[in-house]
Amino acid sequence: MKAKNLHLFEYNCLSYILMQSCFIGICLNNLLVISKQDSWISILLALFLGFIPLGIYYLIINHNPKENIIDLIKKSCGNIIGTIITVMICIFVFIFTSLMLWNLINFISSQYLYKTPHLAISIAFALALYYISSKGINVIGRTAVFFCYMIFILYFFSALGLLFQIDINNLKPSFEYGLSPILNGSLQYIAYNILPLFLITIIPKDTIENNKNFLKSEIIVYIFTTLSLFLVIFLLLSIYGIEFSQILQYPAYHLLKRLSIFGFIQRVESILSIQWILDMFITIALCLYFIKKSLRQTFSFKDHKYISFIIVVFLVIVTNYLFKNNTIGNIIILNVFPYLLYIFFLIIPAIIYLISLKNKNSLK
Amino acid sequence: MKLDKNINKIFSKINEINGNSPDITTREIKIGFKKVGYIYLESVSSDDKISDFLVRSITRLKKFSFLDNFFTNLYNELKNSIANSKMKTIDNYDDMFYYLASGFTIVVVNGFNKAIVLETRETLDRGVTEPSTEVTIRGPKDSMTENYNKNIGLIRKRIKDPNLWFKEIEVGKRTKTKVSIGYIKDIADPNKVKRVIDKINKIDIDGVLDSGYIRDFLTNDERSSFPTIISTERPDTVCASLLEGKVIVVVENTPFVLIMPGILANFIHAAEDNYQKAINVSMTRVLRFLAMIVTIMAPGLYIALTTFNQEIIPNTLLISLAIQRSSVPFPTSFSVIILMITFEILRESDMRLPETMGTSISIVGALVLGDAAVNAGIVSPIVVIVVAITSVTSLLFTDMDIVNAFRWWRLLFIILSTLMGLIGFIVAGIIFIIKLCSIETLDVPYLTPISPLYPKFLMENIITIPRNKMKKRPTYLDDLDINRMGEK
Amino acid sequence: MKLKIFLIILLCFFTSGCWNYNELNELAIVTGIGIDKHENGYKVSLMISNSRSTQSSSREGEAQTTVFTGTGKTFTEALSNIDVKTPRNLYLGHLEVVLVDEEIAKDNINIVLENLMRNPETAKKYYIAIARDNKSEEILKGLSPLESFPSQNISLNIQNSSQSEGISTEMVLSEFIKTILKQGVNSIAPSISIQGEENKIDNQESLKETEPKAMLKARSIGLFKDFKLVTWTTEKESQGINIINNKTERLYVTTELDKNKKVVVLLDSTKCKSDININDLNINLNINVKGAIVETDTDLDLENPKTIEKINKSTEKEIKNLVFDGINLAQKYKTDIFGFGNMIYRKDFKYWYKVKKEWDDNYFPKINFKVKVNANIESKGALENTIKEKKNES
Repeated sequence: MKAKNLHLFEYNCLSYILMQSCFIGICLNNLLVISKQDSWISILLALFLGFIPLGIYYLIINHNPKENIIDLIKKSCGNIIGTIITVMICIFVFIFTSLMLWNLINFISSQYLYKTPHLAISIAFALALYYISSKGINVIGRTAVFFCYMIFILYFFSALGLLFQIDINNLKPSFEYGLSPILNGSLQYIAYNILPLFLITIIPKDTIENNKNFLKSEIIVYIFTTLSLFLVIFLLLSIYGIEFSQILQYPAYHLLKRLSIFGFIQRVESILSIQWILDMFITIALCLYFIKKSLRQTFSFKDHKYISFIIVVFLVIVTNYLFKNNTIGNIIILNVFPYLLYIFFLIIPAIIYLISLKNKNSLK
Repeated sequence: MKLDKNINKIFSKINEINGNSPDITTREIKIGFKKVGYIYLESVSSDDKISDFLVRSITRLKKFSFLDNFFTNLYNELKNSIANSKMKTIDNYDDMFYYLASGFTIVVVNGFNKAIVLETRETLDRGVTEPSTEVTIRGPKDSMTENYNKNIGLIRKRIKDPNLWFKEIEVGKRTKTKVSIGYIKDIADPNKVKRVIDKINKIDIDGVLDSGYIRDFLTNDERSSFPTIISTERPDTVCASLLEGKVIVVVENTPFVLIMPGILANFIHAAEDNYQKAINVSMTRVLRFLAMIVTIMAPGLYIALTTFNQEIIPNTLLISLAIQRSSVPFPTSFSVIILMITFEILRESDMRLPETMGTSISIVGALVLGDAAVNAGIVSPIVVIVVAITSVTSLLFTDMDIVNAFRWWRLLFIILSTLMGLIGFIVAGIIFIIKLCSIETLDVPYLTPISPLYPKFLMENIITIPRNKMKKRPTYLDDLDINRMGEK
Repeated sequence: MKLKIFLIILLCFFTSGCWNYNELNELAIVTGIGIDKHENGYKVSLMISNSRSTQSSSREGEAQTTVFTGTGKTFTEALSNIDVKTPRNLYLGHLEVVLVDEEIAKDNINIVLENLMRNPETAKKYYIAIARDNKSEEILKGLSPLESFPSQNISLNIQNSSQSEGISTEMVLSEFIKTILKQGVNSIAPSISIQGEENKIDNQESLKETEPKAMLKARSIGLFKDFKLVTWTTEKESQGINIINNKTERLYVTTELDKNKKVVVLLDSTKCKSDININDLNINLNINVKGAIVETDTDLDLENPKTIEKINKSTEKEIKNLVFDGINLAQKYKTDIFGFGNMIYRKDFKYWYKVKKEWDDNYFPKINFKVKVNANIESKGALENTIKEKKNES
């Protein structure tokens, strides 16, 4: 029936949200540590380098419009190995989800509700997550569109209020540490902000209505997202300078405290930072959908309300015991996690695609 | 059960089925050797009509009583010569009582097991008056009534297209109410029409007294609080929806017509929007959207800001709020809920009072309660202001279901804001938006044209565009004929 | 399923004290903090603007402010000492002003910065100022006839004097920390003291007289080197420093053309550009000023372009003196508060790595400054010429 299809605009909004959700607590701090005041150059470089993973995902999506990535894995690797690879990818996506939920709870509990135990905050969000994961991909798409409107408006206001306080001299000693930190920073940025686009390959291309402009719209969304995140880092570095940004735990939130439009709209950083909460929420919801759908496809479950419930409860438990404290968490996010992201979200899909190409060719 | 041939047996059988009801009236007339009799129910039939043509027609036939074939053909003669506009034939008791209750007169011929049914209905309704629920200043002012035929007549005289088709179904085992499904054949999507007809065919209920009874059967979202079916008593709204490609359901004995599918934008519009200048209406519509947001979120936002995130409030306002708050014994959310319950009780009681007593008591109630409560130290003045704004903005909407739907969600916002402040407010907002996005009626999502984005119709629904720029019908309804203007 | 959700929400009602939940009348709204040195450590005074619990009307003028003090070995210990004395929770979200005692500033100002910056509640931009010649506790207690919130008194005082006189400067805490953290810059801070009789400043009766016996006054700025306060400036030196930092909005300059011919000029735009020559360590400062003549008690002929030229030249000389005053003071006390070190870092970081450690002590005092001022007095107010000149003519 027609109502089961996604519109192209919903698909684009989902990609936009996926590409910017890991930025605020994770990627921004890593970039500032690695490439210091040249972080803005890293992002511009990543804009060009990021076409490679984007191309790989486009090839996977286009390969067979009726199938999603799980079918592709099953077809090219056979049943047993395919199941093992699917389960491994699911476990990794689960850890990634738990990382994002941890980031969200950390953000909230350090800026808004600092006396509340983390478990209470995670229960509140778990309710909303359970609710959205018991509906289908259509509802996630439409909610993403609605949230995108709110994110645009809040982002526009934040950027507008801060644009007049730029001091370019704060960016100045460029290339102080040479080119390799810049390249390192670009790879970090790609790992956290472009590779999560892999999650969207769970949606087969056929369920999108009027998909004639698929490639063009995806590229436009990609460029738009990267440029808007570039603007965020540019504003942060030019207003605060590198040393002060490094000492803060969430520099972008602190930056919003300087916002003052018309002289009386002040202290609105709590409201403007809703944009980050919303996009983290949708990413977690999409990851849960990914896990649920891939488990259903490989193991043919029937009852899907109980699966969602179990996954959400498990997620809450794992998140609360994931990292012992903040500092260990930051070290793991900086050093260990990007490699895992590259392996699971880039190398394995590329290998699977090549195997399926070889199978297709040998069949002919 | 089939009819008997003897008239007296038929009469006694009818009395027996109905328990000798006092309004059954029967009469026998002799035409030659044959007996002809008629039955009617005095309460629903019009005596003048019966005396006027029926008896006259029957006695006219007495002149032919000498003919040879007369007795066998009496039945056919009656059938062909009775001067009545509507005539049917029946042959069993169930149908007979149905027609009797509808106000028809049954003519039976002795020795024949079929009967003739004639229309002699008494008009038992109000006549076409002004609508009582949706009042407009500029625009047509007639409303539907309880008369089924008049309702269809009010629609027919506005849309003179032969493609306006009605399909009539009888619903309800005991009430046998007539339900009509109307649509314009070459605009409405045939899938939608088929689904509505199937759903109504499946209704298995003993009585239908109002269109609200069959409403729950027509949706699949009974437990959700947002309405997905529009019900209106204005014929111009009904016709505008028909022209857009929607499907209507007309039910006998009620002036309220159901229109499907209904999206959120339809419940926020008023009937008057179509008849005034587009630019002025745009501002009113923006006000209504703001009112919707205020009425759901204002109490929750107030609680979140004053108890958890006080840094957003400016300095001097914060101190004056703290001074007001200092004499109140209850927590903020408690006083908000108490005041809201009081206002809701006031509103309900306002609707039950007869008009002569209405206005003064509600003013007294509101003033006294608010002012006295503040002076007694039970609530603080700012809470009264917040709750008053909430209640007043909720009166901006005409459909009762939407206003009641807002009440549930307001409560959710208040509870979650009390628990976790601004974050609770955000979580409640997320759940609210997920709920709105997940409602679908007849394959049309609830938040069209915002959520599945249709940029061409965004302007029409959020603010209005002038009528000479509305070139196409809404494509999200899958209409067959898209163009409003130009050749068909 | 709905039952489960309902149960979970119900659990939340029963199992918590609702952690961050604070009713408004349970808060003590702190608008000013003052820190002094004490025998066992630090003495912290908090200015709390709130109401008494028996008040029922809500006019702004009736807000009561009280000052609570507490002592302790560390800053946090002193704060919790106060917490014991107040019946309400301390709420730092609307903090406006932080006053630091001179002794603590001379010793180590970091103890104040750490706690306040780390606290997630204190978010608004609040001013930091140093209490000079008086204890910060006394200054916090100061009432004023014009403002009903005493913390507004202090913060608006600082704002006004920095904007219209150029002798003070607005320093917000995050700016202060940012300047400390930057390489090659040291920060400055404004100061406040009491003028008049010190023990009469918190007296309610003195407000009822026409001229209050004691008032708060914003004084000139203090220079820091890393975390320590090194010296105070005079008013002229602070004007010079503000000109170089491009922080003046309006400035009144009195110039003297010949003997006893004084002209007061209002400068409303001063722009200073600096240019560093790394090899010979010369810095050129180009200052452009524009202004208007405000007052003159002479018989100068203002319609003669040559007079205006003379006024321009003497204004330039005056500004040059101000600037050199400021530079000489900074070089004497060996702190680079202007940010020239930072400029060198931005231009040539390899050279900066070599001189970084000794910039303040060895290199900065030896820099030669060349100052070039260009003054343009454009307007004369509402009068075309001076009154005495017109009288002479007629």
